[in-house]
Amino acid sequence: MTPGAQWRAKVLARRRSGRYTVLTVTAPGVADRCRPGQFASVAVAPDSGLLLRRQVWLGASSASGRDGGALELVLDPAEPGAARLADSDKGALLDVIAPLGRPFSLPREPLAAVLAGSGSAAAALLWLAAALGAQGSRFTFVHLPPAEPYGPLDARRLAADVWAPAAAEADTLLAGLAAAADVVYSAGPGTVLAGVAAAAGATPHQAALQTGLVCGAATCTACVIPVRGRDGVSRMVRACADGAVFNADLVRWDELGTIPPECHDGAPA
Amino acid sequence: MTVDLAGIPLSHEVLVASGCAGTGPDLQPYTPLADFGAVVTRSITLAPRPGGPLPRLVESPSGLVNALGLPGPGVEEFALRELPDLCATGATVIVSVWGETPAEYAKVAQRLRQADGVAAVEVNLSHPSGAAPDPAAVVHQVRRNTAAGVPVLAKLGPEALLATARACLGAGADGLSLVNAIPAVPMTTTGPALGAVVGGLSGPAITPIALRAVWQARQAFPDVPIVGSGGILTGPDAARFLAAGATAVAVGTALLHDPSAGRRIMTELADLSATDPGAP
Repeated sequence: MTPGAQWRAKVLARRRSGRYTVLTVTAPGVADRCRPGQFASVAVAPDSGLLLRRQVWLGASSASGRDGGALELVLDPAEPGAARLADSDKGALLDVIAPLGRPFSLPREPLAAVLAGSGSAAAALLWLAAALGAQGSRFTFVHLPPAEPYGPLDARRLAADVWAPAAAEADTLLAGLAAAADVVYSAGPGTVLAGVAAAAGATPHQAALQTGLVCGAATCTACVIPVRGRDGVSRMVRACADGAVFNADLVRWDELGTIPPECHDGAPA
Repeated sequence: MTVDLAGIPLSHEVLVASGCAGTGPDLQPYTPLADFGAVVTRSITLAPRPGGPLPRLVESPSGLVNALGLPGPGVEEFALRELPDLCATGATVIVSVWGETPAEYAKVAQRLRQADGVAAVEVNLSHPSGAAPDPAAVVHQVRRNTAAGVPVLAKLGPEALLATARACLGAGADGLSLVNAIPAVPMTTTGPALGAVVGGLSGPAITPIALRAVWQARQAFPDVPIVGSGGILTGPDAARFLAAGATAVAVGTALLHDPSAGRRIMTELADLSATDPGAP
């Protein structure tokens, strides 16, 4: 993973999107390197007593403009640290590291896709949707419960179909949509993505995993998950450095949060 | 500012605390490791360890509680790959070691003795139950398996500090590293917040306790080198540890909040006037 750049980002604008807050911040020399599926880590002011950085999804980037580039940071104020960040006024300075993680891989040719996301992580999918649409791909957007949908109006503008199923209906709906699609893209917390992975079946699936609190420099090993390598060997890997986008077929979804016995020789690589 | 730590010359009195630089190179883009006086590695064990169950790291007011479970590749892989990579950055490397038993500590030290680039050994004497069962026996084993010119530092918690420190120094420790994360059990409203239940509290929440440990040890052992650590976020924080009697200081939790904190703390320390108006 290429290390993210760290800089003092100035808040250029703040807007609400349902319960979420979107901050547009300066990102000179960085914005043009950011891709859908990547994230930022943002420090909460130390006087808050909150010492871990927050994983914040990138909703868009602009490499042009007066400030030499800008990024959209999408925050869910349900979490206290994110709430502090969401209160940042225009002109405030934030300690940002970005871009972090691997982005979604775009298909070489237009195809049929399902985009399924939950909460603020859906911002990564809406950014991806714009890229897929520009490429001529057709896609269906699914707002997954239980979180309030992020950007429902944008989803309706970009996608051929938009769904917001109840929890009891989500798996059946996803399985049907995935069976008719060439690829599934998902984003959200592990519990939600595990359900998408099961429903996606044999359809190729890229999953962007939300881990929440991060160190930002891939040093803390607090975000490890068990992943099967292409050599068949499972290892604990850091979601921040080796994800956040994973080939969902290789993630051992049922064992998130655990250290499977055969991974015992697999220190984070 | 250069400093002598138990006979090893350090280019600066600010060190990276154990476990807070990942494998090392991860931190390099944010503060060059060679700029620190030394880098203390994560604790190296005899066999590879996958680390503990998740969640491994949670916030506590002005602190972090970690139960990472000492993930690492084991001393053989460390000596073959991670240590040379760390040395290639130009950093002075202090290797932290941990074992289940004094004999395991001894085997780790034996393997490290064959490796190039170990400037000192820090003996991590923390244990899930709070402290290693027999710290003096552990230090004795590490000392007798470490080359004569390589200092051995005993890293202790604040509990029974002076008695433990005296025993470790008597067993051959060349210096002290104070303090280790303090055993803690963070809870949610429904149960333990950490997968391993018991973790170690670090950060500004423990600073006064760490300062007391450094001060108390300095009073008791006027000539013993002491590395002070515990919630250093700023240059003035580092200066407080030096004022309490530390020979050098180690920065840990701050690097998880801001990987560039090392550079900033060193600059702030250099800019400090002789009198620190913010000192406690």
